[in-house]
Amino acid sequence: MNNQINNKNPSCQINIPRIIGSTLVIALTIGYFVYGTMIPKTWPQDDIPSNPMIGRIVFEEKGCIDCHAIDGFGGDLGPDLGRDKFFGSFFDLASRLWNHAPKMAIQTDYLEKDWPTLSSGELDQLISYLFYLRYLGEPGNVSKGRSLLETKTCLKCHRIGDKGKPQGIALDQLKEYASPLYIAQVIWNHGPDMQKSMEELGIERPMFEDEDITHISAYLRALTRGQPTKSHYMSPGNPKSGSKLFVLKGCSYCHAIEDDQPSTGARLNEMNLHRSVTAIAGTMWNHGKVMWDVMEEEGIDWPTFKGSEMADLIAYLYFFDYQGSPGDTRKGKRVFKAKSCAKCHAVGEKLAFTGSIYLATPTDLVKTMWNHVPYMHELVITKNIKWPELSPDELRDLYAYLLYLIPED
Amino acid sequence: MKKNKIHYITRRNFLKLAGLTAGGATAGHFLFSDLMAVPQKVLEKATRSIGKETWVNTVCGQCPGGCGISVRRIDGIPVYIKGNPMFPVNRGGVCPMAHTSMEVLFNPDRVKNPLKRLGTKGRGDWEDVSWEQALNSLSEKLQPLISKGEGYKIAMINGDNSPLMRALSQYWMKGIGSPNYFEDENLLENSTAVQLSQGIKDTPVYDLANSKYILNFGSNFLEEGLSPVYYQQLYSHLRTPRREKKAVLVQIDSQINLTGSNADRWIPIHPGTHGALSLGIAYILIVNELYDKDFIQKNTFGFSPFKDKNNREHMGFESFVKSNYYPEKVAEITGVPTEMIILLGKEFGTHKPAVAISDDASRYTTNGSFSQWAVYCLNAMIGNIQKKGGIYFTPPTPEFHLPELSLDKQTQKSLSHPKVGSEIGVPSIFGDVTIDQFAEAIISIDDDLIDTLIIVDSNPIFNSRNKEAIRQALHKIKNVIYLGMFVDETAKHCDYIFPVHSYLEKMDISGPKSGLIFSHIGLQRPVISPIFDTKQAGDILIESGKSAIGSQHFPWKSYKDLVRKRLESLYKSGEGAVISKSSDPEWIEYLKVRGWKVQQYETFKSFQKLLVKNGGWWNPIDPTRLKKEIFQTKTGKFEFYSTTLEKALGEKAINVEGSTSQEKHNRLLSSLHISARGDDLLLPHHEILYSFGRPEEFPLLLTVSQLLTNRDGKGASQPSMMEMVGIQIGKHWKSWIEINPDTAREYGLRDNKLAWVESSNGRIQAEVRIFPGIRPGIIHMALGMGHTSYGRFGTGIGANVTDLIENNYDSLSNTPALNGTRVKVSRVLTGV
Repeated sequence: MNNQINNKNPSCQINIPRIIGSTLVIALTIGYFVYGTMIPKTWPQDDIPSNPMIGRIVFEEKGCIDCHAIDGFGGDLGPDLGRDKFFGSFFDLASRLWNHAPKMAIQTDYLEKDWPTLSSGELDQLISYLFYLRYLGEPGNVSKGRSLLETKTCLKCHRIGDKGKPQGIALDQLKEYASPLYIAQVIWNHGPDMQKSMEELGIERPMFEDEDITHISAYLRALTRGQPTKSHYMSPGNPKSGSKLFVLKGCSYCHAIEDDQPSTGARLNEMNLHRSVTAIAGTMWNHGKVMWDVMEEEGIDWPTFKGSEMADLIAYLYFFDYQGSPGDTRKGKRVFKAKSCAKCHAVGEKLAFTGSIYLATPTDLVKTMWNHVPYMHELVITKNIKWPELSPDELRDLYAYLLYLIPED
Repeated sequence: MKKNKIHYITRRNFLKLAGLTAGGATAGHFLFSDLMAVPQKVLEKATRSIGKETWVNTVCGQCPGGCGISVRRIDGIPVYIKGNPMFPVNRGGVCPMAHTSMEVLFNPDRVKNPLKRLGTKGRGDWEDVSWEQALNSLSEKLQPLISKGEGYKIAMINGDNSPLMRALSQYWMKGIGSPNYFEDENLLENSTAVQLSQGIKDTPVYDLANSKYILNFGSNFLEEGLSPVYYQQLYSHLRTPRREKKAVLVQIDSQINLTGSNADRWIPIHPGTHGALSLGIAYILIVNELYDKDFIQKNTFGFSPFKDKNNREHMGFESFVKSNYYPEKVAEITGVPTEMIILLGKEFGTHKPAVAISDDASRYTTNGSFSQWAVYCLNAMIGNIQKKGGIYFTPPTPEFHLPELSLDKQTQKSLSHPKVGSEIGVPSIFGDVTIDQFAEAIISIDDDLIDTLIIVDSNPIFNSRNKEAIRQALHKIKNVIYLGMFVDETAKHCDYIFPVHSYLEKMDISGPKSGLIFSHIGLQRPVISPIFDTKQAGDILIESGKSAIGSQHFPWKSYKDLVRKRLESLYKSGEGAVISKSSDPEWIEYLKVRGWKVQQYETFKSFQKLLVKNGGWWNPIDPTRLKKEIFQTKTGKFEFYSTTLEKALGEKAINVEGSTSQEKHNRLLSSLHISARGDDLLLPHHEILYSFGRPEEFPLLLTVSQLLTNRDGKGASQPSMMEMVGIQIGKHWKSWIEINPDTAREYGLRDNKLAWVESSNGRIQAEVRIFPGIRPGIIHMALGMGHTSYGRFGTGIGANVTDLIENNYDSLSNTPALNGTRVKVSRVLTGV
């Protein structure tokens, strides 16, 4: 029946609600596609490095070391990356890398070297290695360490030579002192016992700032020098393992990772975690008293660490927010125009622009940009264009915009 | 049963065969030829497989240098070798011998299964036996001796330079209760100079990479020594244009060798007078006040006059040198002009950092220890001990101990027997009993001194200057077991040959090596399964040890298991890092001062996996050691006046015949051919070279050296090495005599013609090479040629110069005095 009616006079059969409904569906569909594709993508959350040190191989093999030293070891054409450390997110380092490219292009020409091209993997390794340098800390200062040990309350329970509590553990006769973090881990593990003893004896809990633990470690190491000690070196942390430990050790119970999660303690993104490993360890220790009280109240066991667990956990905290927040496609579009990318790269023909490159992660973009530096450097000179420097935010937005241009599979 | 028949190869045949093999290789086929005996099973594998390429990192075993190598394999068959760029010793460089290692692996004359002697010793008739028979026969010989408490009747000569193998061999000998463990001369350390001044038995490490001025007293470091490739790397660093100012290398030697030809200046000197020249240079430093007064005052003893505990006055080094080694006198001794002595002294005192080094030509002489000591003291004078560009000592590797042996009383008693040979000849002051003292004792004493002798990777009959004594000793000892790869001159006179793996088929440890500025361990691993019915020498010791004295003392399944234990000790130490592309010294130091180790592994398994993959471990830390560690003398200081020598001479003199201590002392010194007495003896001084030959009869002096292509003669098993043996001077498959044009003229010798060289020991024939880069009055020859039994490539090629060399030793260390034998030369007349 309906068929008949429709067949007879289809144009007269106007159904207003259906039209509204259809329009709404179409609008929503279009809206979804338009808005959906405007949502920028970043790395998957678990895509943090497991061994940032591996980037050292890239640093050496690609010849970065010929111009840049790490703490005095290496070339001196560029800044010493061990002393002039830079810490932000991936985009901060990528921005620096990009902005120094024209200077470097001149130097490589002068030294008759090939431009060091990088794969995405190599670039990832290199940037996470440079990012990691601050985490590794500084060598301690012996005299500062001595004065810290004497001014903190350590010697009320321990002894060094004839100083301190006679029955206490002799800190200058311990066998394993090479790693400051090893000391931090030992202190942390006997935290509750220490807390009780300090409360019983009315001793003020020592607080550690910045590199305090490193200095103390250096002093203890100097004291044990020449003794038949067995050095105990630790592996620098594995951020990936640390992310699992963060949950396993119960840290996530109080400290939220995501903004929308409830958080008893401070959220990770509210903390200053881009500091050296011992500085972060010091912060952990400093909040130990509050933590112990809460845990005791809730009947939770004090988390202890063995092996390189503490290093892993701190490495994870250090790498937290490494990827940074997603970019803004609209701003990215403006960057694309303002930085003259459009002069060479077509935007109207999406496939013409994006067809030859793969932008699964921001590293892919930076790699592509980096590898075309020699060509582009020549071009900007020929065309008298200023090298388009990019701030970390601009780079982030640019990636978001270019990603938006790529059609979904 | 078989007769050992070899089809000997001439140079002409070699070139033909090499052409054929190259053609075959181009066509993609393996050739079974006289050059390479690739077994059928390997050939079949090669033809059946898909051609999969793999690379394996291991360590070269051609010489003690221990270079890291990467072996290219096709379907698991090694086909090519290159240097491992990660390996700290050689950083990707290798010498020619490493490249031709395949000629050792597939050598047609390798012993392919255990052999038992047939007929009389030395005839070269053998019968094949199984490993079971071979090991049972060893066990049958060992057990009765051990059970009777006569383990001391078992002796071992070890030439395997693996530190683990050396440790296991000594452990094995101790376990059976024998003190009669001897080491091949190749394993001797170059440490007497350091011992005299510092009381430690360490070989000095020269920081050449940071030196500006290198005064080289006879060390041919680019070709000889423990690790020529390592020094070649350092040398190339010295010559790199990046350095602000090029380092100056001055070579002081009687002949221009590979190092000399790469030096900035060659100072020709009389053999055996290097010590005198260094004292002449010390004189210039003193009179011009170019020495480090602060270092001398704070860290040394015996430089200035002093009084001993008996209030006796001693002149001290400064006065001694000023009185005895002024330029005119030194020029007379050394043949170096006075103006050159003055110039060298001034340059050495003003170029900073400078270093004085010595080895080879200044070491292998009867006065080697005193010469090297005098040279070494120059370094203390300018205060460069443990200073950049100066002298360091190899840092220790993490400790590894074999289990403690609990010996019963019978074994302990057996172990307390004196070492055979210790009563023969002159007692060495610092050296051990030599192999030829051992041999002399065997042949001169009627008693059944030694019942069973085990020889591991050593060829004393070929290398010794006392060949006949060793041959007779081997004939006199009832059971002589040889562990090696070839029927060489020594193996030929043994009762059993236990064939061992080539280094490309075995698992072993290489390093630590003295003389390097870092500590390291290289891992030798099989790149192919054993291609013949061979065993690893370590496994033979473990198996025989288990059956002879019990499994509890040998708790390892195999030698491989022991290697694993060694690696575990490295892992547990937490020190150093597996070598890798990212384990450069600065980076390791950066991490270390912050308390980190290079994050390469979390478990021993992953550590081992990476080490096996990359080929080694190292610890390139700052080599500076505490003063109390490096100055272990009575005075706790660097000694110009050696209390260490004073004490050692006193102890040795006790057993010398004589009515008074002075008489004993003098007799001891005379027997050692030491002429100095009193304070002169205990200060660095020059001793005149000793030789049996009379100058009137033998007017020339013989000097020798090893070649990079042959070393002590091991390269002779490889045809390519024989082809390259004298490549620098255009000599192939033969020996030659280097002689100055004036000397050649004087004796009527012509270039490329044959000549006789004769000493009080014997005479040999070789081609003359007239060469202006050698002092007049000197004859120079290369060691390692003239094998009489070393397979088809080595046998009968050239002449063995050790047949000429007198059997003398350095007076203090028992280092063989290879240089300084008196000789004469004459033309070989046609038809004679």
